[in-house]
Amino acid sequence: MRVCCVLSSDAAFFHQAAASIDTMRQALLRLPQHAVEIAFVAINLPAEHLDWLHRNGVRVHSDLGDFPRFPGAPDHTYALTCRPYIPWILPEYDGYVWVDSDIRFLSHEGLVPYLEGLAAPEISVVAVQETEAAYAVHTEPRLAQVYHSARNRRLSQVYGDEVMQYCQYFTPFNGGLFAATADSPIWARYRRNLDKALKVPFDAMLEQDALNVSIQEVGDWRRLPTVMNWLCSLRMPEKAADGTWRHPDEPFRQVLVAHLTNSSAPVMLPDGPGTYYDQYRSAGLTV
Amino acid sequence: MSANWPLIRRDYVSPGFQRIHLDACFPEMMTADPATCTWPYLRHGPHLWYGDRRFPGTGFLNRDEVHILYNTALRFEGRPALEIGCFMGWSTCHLAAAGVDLDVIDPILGDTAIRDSITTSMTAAGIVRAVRMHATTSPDGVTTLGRLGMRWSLIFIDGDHEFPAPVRDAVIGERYAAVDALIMFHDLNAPAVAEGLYYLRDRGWDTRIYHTSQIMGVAWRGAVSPVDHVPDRAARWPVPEHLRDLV
Repeated sequence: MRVCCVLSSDAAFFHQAAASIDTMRQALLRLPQHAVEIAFVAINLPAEHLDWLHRNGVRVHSDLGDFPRFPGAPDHTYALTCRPYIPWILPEYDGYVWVDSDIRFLSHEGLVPYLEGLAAPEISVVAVQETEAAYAVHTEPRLAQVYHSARNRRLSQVYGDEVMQYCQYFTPFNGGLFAATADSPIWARYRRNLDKALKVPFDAMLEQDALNVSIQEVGDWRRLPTVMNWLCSLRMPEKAADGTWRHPDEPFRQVLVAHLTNSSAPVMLPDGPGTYYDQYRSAGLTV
Repeated sequence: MSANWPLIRRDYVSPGFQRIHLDACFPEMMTADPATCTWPYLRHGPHLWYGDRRFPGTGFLNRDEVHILYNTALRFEGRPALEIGCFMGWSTCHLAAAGVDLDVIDPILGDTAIRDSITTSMTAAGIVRAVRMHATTSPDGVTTLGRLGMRWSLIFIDGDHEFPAPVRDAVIGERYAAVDALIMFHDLNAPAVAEGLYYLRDRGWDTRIYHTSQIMGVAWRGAVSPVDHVPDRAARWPVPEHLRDLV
């Protein structure tokens, strides 16, 4: 099986993407039994970034005309709208793993279940549900209210009340890291649902909603544990003495994939105001 | 009742269709006023709406629609067919009467009284041996049969009409469809049902809409083709917004 891991970014986020690719390449060195290539949807990247990608053996797709666009949204949102089109722009693979640029594979074992899921033909998609008791959206009622009510508003606006009512009590899957075979029914629905979302004012979560509605429609998903895509802005993992990253409340669980979410959002650090990315870097989650 | 339609409704059958009349096999069948149905996607048109007097509020395919189904099934005589959702067996009998080898999936078949009623109707229609009834739900029941090797040339989907069921029925139908196959939907007037047909279109199947009271849709691939249907010109069916991309 030939698998392609696909990322995307513009120049401003490229440092993140490059760091993500580095962790992925390290993981793949430990997984020689898997035939995996890396591809990149380049959003107006300068020559130096394209050179870096070529030097590192990454396939580049630069034709942004292949993808739809949220009206009025900035160019970097092609990193959202390109996802359902991966099998069309890179048709020679048997399966795909979408990797957000803020994903870090902390261990090769974090990539394995995504690759293995592609070998099961009846699995429509492999992803992590955002159901983690340790996350702030589950420990803080006000955040939980915002998290769910905002999503319900979006679902109702794009897909109607029937769909919203069906989904409203179901915690969504995170769209930052998922795997699907080339022939999975998820792609057709993902495209269709994203197309519906393009008709409403842009919101960065609309694309993930489209994926989740599609997952409900096609069924047969494989849900991975949260340590396979840990949302760091909802709760930081903790570093153990042996250098591994651990679940903050259940230290016997190793966090294998860190998702450095909300990187540019402001946060108060011990030495003053900064961003989540500053926090991630100082903690050692990324370079 | 809608003021836009005459109070006296009638049957309609497209010209060019082979006719069939199985009403006598359904002694509890009745015509009903669609205004008695609370489902928001039932259209109140000029064609007679049929149901079963034991279950008011739920309808059958009307005469126009059941002839589309029957004439389609005639093209699949002798081949395996699958029906997802049968209610009282009206569509089942029309499918089997066309000579297909039919599997029917519907949890309603777990109700002994309903199953007996359907069996009685099928016996009267002379098709009971051509039908295997499975009291189970889709997609699980379809998967079970598919894993046993079943591949269907004709699939009729008229099951759960609410999100996300129609797409799941289409996904599982496609998975276990024969290479040359046709999948038909009833009630495309319901947006969630239409998404099933959109799914097949987006997977590369050819698609078509039949302008009937509840709107039927068909998707096909390979060496099969749908029947031609002439809609009732007097009906002037509007095309709902959610079907614009399919027309």
